[in-house]
Amino acid sequence: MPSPQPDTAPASVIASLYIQAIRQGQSTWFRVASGSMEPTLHAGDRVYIQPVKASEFRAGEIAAFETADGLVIHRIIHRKQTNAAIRLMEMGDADLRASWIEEQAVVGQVVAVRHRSRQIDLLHRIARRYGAVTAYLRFWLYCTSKKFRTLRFFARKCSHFVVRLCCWRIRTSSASFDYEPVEK
Amino acid sequence: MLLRNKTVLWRELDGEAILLDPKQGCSYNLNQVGTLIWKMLDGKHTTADIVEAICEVYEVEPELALQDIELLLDDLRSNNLLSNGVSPAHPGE
Repeated sequence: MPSPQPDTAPASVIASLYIQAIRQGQSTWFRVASGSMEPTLHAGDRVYIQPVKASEFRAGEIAAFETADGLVIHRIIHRKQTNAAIRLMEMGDADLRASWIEEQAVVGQVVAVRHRSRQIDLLHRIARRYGAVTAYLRFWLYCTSKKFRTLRFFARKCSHFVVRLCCWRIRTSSASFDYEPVEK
Repeated sequence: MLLRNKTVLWRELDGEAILLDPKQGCSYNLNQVGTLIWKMLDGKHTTADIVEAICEVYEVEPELALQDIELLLDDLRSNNLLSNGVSPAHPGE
């Protein structure tokens, strides 16, 4: 029987189809595959991605971008405008490692998260505010850890604390049990 | 005539189709027979055409092929992978 079987195809092919869909202007639900955004996003959570250009991003928002490994979902912690180009610095919530992403690599923005029976609206004003606080503090901690190697351990601990605190605040203020996708 | 849902993206890998419904965030795999059927859901072919194509490629009785095609179409329809408002055209119609 040639019936359609769910979710057994190679992840890279599925990711490329998601990238294609978002680049064509479709918003979509996407399943998180790794724990690089813990505790904000857990492996298996579903995130709603809307097509958004790099120029519309603000620090603290969560971006979906294309890499050689497929579709990556990390937080934007800093943005830099150079002449006509925009560069965004991304960082997973689980670790204090950052890298720059080019404008063209940006695919969309994560605006909602489904975790078990709960949906978190990341466009809620408190979620936005605490997302920005997370980004600001972690960017500062990242720069500090780069500058003073001896403070690296301390910076990492502080970073975990900041993420946990802001994540808790976002969850308690922006969660609902309504499963309608949030429109930006 | 039968038509795929235009919002569904798909790619063929080793003769098997991988479908993505972005609205639901669901992906599906079709085996080689399913892929052959899927490729013919272009609005230009009837169920009879699909039965004929399958019987040309595989050793199967037309009645059994038709049964399988209808089961797949029902599955596709229930997963919103077919265009709305399109009813299957049966052989002889």
